[in-house]
Amino acid sequence: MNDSATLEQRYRRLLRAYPRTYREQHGEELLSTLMEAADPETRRPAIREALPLLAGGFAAHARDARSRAPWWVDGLHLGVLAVATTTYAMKVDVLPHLIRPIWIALAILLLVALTRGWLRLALPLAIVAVVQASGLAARMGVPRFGPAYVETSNVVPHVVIVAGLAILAIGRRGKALPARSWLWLLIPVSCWMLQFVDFSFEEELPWLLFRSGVEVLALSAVLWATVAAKDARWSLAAAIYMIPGLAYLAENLPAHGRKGFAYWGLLTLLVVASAVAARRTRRRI
Amino acid sequence: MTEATYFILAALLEKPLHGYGIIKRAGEQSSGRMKLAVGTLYGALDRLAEAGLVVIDREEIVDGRARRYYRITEEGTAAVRAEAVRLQSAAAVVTSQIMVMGT
Repeated sequence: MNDSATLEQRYRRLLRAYPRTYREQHGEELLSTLMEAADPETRRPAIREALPLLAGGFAAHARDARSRAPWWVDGLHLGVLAVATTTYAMKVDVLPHLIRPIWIALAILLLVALTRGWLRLALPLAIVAVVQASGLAARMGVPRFGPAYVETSNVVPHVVIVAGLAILAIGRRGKALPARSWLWLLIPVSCWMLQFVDFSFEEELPWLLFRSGVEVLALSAVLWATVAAKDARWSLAAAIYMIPGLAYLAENLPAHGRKGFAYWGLLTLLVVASAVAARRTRRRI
Repeated sequence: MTEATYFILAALLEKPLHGYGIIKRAGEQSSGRMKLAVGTLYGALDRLAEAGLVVIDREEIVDGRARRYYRITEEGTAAVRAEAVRLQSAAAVVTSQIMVMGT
């Protein structure tokens, strides 16, 4: 194989960083430009070309992940979906016994409605959930089927979901939201499956480490996507996702050690950095 | 506007160019300072096309590969002119003082 063919093959491999649809539309054009710009003697892609290609591929993925909705609608929807998914994934006892069948049915229906963007169904379900989770049901004389009220921070995620959906309902005038991938539902399903092996989300150290790793990676990806696609939607979603966690931290301050503060500080820093990046880059071409 | 975007738009002011043509022209216009990487160029072109500042002018097949020529729009011309004026007035803040000081 001659130098040029080897180089072309290596560039083709690097171009896999881009989404398939992007490659189909622009792949040959990019390759042609890369080959024109390359030193004819070289067999390896230059670092100054390879790194921007990887970054460009990530930015193209980020741009592909956007819906056609305005950035704030997309961000709010994603944030509410992230809060609902993580809350119901870890706070609902599904297996091995159905302790609260109506509550579980409501959770599943709400998660499906949120994922598919059915705003008119999701908002009333979320209001029922907040009434049940806050202990208001007992005071209102409504039959109770939700979890027992423990502390304010347990109710915060449900309030965030209702508030987010209410803003979306007003802003969209009841119009449905763009549907999200069914993969979102894999998160609660996987967590509920773990309950089969009597797994406690509160105590298991490997779980805490796994969750921390996922959160740091996800929020770092949010920061990168915000900068790469010059778009604020993920930054808004991340800020909404942080509200329940920070409420929990505030309510249980004495129970958190130095590591806990450092961890929440890091997450907050990533979200603040994303917000600053979003503000600086949103109007910059 | 980033420096890369500025030089991409400036390169297209004279006539539509394809990817490598833009890289060469931007290099010439910046006296070799602006060395656009291909990934950076196409990322910027995507954003510029999304903002309506450039459009695809035509497509040719060269050696079996698509070669797209990009053309600057009226909005693109206005944006790069406005940026040039901004840079000129920013530069004038320093150059006028240097002239007064005689250094």
